[in-house]
Amino acid sequence: MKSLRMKLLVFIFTVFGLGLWFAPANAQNTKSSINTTINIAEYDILYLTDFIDAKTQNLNSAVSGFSVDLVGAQQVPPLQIRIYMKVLVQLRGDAHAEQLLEGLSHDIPFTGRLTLTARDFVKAAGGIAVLYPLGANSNIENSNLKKRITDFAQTTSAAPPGTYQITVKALPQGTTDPNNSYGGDSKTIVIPYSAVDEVFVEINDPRNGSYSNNLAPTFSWTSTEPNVTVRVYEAGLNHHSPQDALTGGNPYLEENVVGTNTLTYPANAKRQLQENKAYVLQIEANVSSSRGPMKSVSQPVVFRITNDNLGSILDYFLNSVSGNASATYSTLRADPTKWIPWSPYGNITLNGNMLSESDLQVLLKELSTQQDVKLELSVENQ
Amino acid sequence: MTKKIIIIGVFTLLGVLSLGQVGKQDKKDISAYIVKVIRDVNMKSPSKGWQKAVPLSTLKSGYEVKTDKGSLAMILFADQSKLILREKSIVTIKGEVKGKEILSRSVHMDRGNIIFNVKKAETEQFRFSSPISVASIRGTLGGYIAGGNADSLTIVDGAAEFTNSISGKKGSVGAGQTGVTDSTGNFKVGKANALTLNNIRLSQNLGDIDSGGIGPDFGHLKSKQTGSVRVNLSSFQGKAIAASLFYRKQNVQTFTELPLTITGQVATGQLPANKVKYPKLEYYLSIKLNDGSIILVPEDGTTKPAFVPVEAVRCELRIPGQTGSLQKKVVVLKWNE
Repeated sequence: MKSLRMKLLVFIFTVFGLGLWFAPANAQNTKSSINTTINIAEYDILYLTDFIDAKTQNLNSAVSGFSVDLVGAQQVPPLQIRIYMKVLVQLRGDAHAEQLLEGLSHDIPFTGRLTLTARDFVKAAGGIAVLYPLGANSNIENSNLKKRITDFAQTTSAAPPGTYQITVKALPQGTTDPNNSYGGDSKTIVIPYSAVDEVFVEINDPRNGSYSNNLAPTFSWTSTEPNVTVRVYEAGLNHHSPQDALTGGNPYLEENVVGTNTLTYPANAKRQLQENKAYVLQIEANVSSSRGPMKSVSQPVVFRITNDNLGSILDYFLNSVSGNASATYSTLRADPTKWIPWSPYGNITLNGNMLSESDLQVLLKELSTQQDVKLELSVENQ
Repeated sequence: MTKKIIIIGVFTLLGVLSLGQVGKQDKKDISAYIVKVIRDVNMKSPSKGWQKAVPLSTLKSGYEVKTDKGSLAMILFADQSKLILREKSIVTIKGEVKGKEILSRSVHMDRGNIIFNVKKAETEQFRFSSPISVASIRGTLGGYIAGGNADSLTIVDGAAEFTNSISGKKGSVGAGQTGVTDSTGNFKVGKANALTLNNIRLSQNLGDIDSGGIGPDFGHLKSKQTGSVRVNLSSFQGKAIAASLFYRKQNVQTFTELPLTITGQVATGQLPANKVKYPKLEYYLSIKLNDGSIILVPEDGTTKPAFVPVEAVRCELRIPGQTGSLQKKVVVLKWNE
């Protein structure tokens, strides 16, 4: 699939530098069979600038990953054949496909095995399969469509997302009818993105800032790419943001997941989740491009392993008191803050003296009986 | 037969005499206490000269009390009847009691101004007198002024009988009325001046404000810290045999008794930390004297206790926590306790 995409683009640019002459065909009376295979690398993102010579706007003859293999019976003397190529394009948002180019090469000798590379389609490189228009009044390319593609590439440097269908056939000498061929191949390439940030990957569960006492939580996500990598990092006490945690340590878990959008923290993971710790989850979608593998990552999500007993105690108390303290606390506990008491950060203290969880319960219970007590609640950033 | 009658008569006579003897032994001079002294107040017993009155000085029948300019004395009787002797007044207190029953009680005032709040009794009347008038009072709040040439009796609550001693004219003075007598024998009753009525009402509240110098000294009370209480009993001249502090936190219904330890002229005690709470400690003192009577300070402390401010302890509860974006935020709760 990806090789087809490559092939398509190669052909798009091949036509840029071609002079087109149509050579009259010598009809071949005896037809041979030639197995034709288009080899083209498949990419999610294809950078046109890597395939085009910026000065001549011709196909770059050094493009790798594209070839056409022609295999048939050994021919002595060599059989004269000509290469026919057609490219149909349906850009994203278009109702139907349009023909981008259609051309035919001069006759070339075929001895039973021939491999054509990008170089063979470039006139300036002395290519043997340079394409020309089929008829005297025809153009090899659809200039309007070509302009749309090149305009798009000027802003993103990538090929516009869409479906590209490429057809290659081996025709008998002197033939112009593509239906009369020794054999051919057709490949459809889908290019879904023009940039890596078009790749959608989002974590559904856990929600950011959530907590659970489940040591084997199940993660779920939505991604336009089926191939993702799930990574879990521990948030250390010195990490003040999820990004700190992502860059500050090795992942607790790194799991490649293909074809599904859920993962339960494996029981056999080398490092198990622990209570009273915070973790950062990030899902990475793997994207192929003509410039190599690229990554699209989700927003990191913080989740914590705790039963939040202290938070429950405070909820019970502060929800029952009147005034600003209750409102401030409720805001703190709700989205987006999602504050919870966090013992790893330090002890609960009353006038500097440490309080245990049960001490706190007793204190709040006593406070709740004192109706005339005016509570002031403030939040300090550390 | 004659013998029998003589014997019965002798025994009957002895019985009657015996009963009479017992009754005579129970009668005692009435006593009262000066519970409040402002500036210069002097007192005089029948056998001694004038001496400075101090709070809880005991007054017996025949004692005189004198207030100088700008001074005031409050006199409290066992039945909680109260007299407020205003400036430039001289009174003589007389009376008898039998057990708890007050047989007679009178205050003679040659010149002066007195506010009275007399508790209602079944039989006994409180009698005020001057050279030209007599007021018989039972369960009344009012004021009596002996001015020399004219006296007035103003009644706020209740009623009293007012008599001009010179002419014998008399009449009832009711609530909101003032009776006036003069040295020429006139007597009249009319509507009391509103200002006068109000002054009487305000004056009788003076006794609620402080305890006349025998109030406890708590030092500086701080919330949730052990407190100490010290009561100077020197005014009782050794008559106090027991003392207790009844205290409670604000908004608490019941009082807790703290028996005080009497050492010499001082009673002391310790308040437990958990009972000392901001913003105040309400209390009253109960002092038992060697005659069996009990003095409450303030006198109506059971319903209107005095209070001492308790300094708040500023409490700060710090709860470290984490936000959903890993920020460290400390919730700080502060309150006064």
